[in-house]
Amino acid sequence: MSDDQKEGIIQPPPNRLPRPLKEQKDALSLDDAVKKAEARMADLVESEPNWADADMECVTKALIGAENDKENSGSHMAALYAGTHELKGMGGNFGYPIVTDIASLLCKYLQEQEEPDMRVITLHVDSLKLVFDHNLGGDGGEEGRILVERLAKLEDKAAMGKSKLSGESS
Amino acid sequence: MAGYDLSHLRVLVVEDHKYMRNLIKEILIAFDIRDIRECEDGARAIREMGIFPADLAVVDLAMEPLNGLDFTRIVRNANESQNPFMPIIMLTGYAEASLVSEARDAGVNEFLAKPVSARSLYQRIVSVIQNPRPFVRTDSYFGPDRRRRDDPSYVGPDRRKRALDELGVEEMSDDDILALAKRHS
Repeated sequence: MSDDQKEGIIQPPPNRLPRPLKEQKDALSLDDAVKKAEARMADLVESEPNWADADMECVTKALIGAENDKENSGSHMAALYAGTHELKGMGGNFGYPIVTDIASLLCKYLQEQEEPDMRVITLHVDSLKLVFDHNLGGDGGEEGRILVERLAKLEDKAAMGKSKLSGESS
Repeated sequence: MAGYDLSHLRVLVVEDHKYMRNLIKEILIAFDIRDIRECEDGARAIREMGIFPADLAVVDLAMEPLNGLDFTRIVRNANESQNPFMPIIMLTGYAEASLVSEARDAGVNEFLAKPVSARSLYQRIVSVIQNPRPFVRTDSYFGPDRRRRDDPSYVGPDRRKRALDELGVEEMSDDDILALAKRHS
């Protein structure tokens, strides 16, 4: 058995391509391909202004459910996380990196807290609504940056203990 | 400047979110890839592979009823798999180390975090097609080699080799690693 055909190792894996992939002078370069892709992505973003509607509706409904239907709070929180996770993955691509930032903070909070504080979650969801209602695209500008910073600080405080938020002694 | 002709690639996009699926498709079209099939979940994708000889799959992680990890495991291990060697790029909003590790153990070739970068996706596509990892078969795993691999284009210091030299330890051979994998599977 040759060195490159050792037991358990298949080198190289079978290739079913009609022709090999090689670097070519007349092919689309990486930079040109990226430029084209970004232009097409921008066109898509413009044509899909409602990209976040379904996920925001899911998140809002799940939040209301978690607050009012304690018996099924587990499934409501799972739905809340799922919707937030989608917004996290899409925001940056659809012209709203601030949505990715806020949703990332909320996802992290939900993952790390055994008993998340509903007030903290509500503030995050309200922040997302604010971003969309006021069309704070991009990083949201100065207002957006302050918003994200304050949410991050709030989470740090909440992580230190719920008592910090309510002002009770720990 | 030179580039790669990707126009002949057949790509399977497996993503449950309509807008993200459209976005990935737009990026692939920009790369001159024309033969693209879209599926909303892993189960549909498995069925699609029966009629579409995909060269590559771009797959989301969280989907119902069959998620990206289970899709990957079926592609790699099922007797009925149409192409167990198919390169799989996982594109997901999850970036936790445990999930990356699980994806690697399922047999994913590359892992990209969302929001997606067109540049990163292009580079991963070229990498998995032009410079594929060897596949490894052990009692508990079949898929691309999960170990760090040599990159001929890297020109910096080999810190790992230096560390091994400093410790006076020899690098393990492929046989040693496979034997170790078998003992611990």
